[in-house]
Amino acid sequence: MSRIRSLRQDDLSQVVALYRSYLAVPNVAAVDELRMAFEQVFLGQPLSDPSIPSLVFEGSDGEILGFIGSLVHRMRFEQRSVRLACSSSLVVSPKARQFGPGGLLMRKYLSGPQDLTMTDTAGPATERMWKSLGGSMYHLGSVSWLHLLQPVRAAVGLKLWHLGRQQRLRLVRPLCRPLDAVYSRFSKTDGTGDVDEHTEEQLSPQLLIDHLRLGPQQFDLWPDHDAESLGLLFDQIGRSRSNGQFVKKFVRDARGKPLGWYIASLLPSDIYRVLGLAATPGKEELLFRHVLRSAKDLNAAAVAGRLEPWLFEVLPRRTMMLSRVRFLIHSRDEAICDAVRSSKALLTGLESDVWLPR
Amino acid sequence: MHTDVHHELRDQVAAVMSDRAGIDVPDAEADLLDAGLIDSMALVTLIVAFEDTFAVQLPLDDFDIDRFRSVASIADFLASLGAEPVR
Repeated sequence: MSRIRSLRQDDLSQVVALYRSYLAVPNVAAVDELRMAFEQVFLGQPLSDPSIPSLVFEGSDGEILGFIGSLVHRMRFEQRSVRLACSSSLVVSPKARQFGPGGLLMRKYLSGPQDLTMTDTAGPATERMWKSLGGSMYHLGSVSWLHLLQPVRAAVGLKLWHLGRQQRLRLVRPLCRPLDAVYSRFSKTDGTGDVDEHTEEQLSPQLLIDHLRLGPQQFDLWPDHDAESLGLLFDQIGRSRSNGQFVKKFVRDARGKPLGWYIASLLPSDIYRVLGLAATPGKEELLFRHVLRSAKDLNAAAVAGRLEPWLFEVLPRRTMMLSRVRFLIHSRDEAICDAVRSSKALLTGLESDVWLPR
Repeated sequence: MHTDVHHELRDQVAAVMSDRAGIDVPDAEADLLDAGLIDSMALVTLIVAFEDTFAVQLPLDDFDIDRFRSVASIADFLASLGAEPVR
């Protein structure tokens, strides 16, 4: 008989091998990087919770035929403490697909004691299963924005990344420059000179905790970080080669007053991926210009992130909206689902698994 | 279980499979796995549908795929969990 059980340390080699063979794409992360990340994230602190564990589907002969990762975050929903479980890295062995282990793993995971389950990297198959198990989609969260700074290099960088050859981007960059220079000349919408008088400092865990909810929006659901756990999470994200250069900044105006913060990664594809950002009311556009400035300083080819309602007002005119992945939620408490679907939940990329090596 | 009752349960299992998962089986003993009719999506849909229809809770941890091999084996499995034909 097959069974579903909690992930153990001695499963990691099999799980990583299964993960890599399941994805079977040239750009899948290396064994050592995946193993280290899976061990830290799915079995270590601060994101593993023994009562909401990562799960494996074990065949009758003991072979691991399926896996679903679990990242657990403490949150506040109105006045009470709740747990958010992020479902991650669902993979199934090709030889077990007719047994449906993916669906069984998901069913077991969603039946756990967490108050809310989410994934924001799901495809259509996961969406169908998730919905049949009572979940729903957060439509706005399923939209990503992409602002091109150097479109030719962005396209080439993404292509090389998909082919697993992002190291060649270094050689190709000079070839992209002439065409991208033409684009820059005709798209003068990204002036960032007005941020010169502001100062940027490292966003420490405590600074983020103190200024998590800077914006004008009232949230019903938000992360309940503590400095130690957040520091560990920053370390984990920063250590992953797949995340490239990890940037987290706190921005002050000329008088030293908080203007906002942002967290982003310059990925190996030269895309600057924003994981989270917040601005003091009235300073949203300025804060976003800091993000653009930072992207340009790091020589990013494009800036991307997940759409949030307030970003509609500050995103540059030439910004693309993409809907490639689904943001799915599941909860037995409809009020929590309503909070997410009505964008009254503060969920940054830190609560997601988007930063996990793939 | 009385034979008539068991047949009724099988008929209802087949009806649920057809209505909820679009799986039409030629007979109660037909092998669903060999025919490739069960995948992750179908399995989840069926589990939810059986739980709703027959008011039983299927196990979350242990899983024997042979219980889903045919309409007959599904009906036996559901009966072992206390399911009865819906009146």
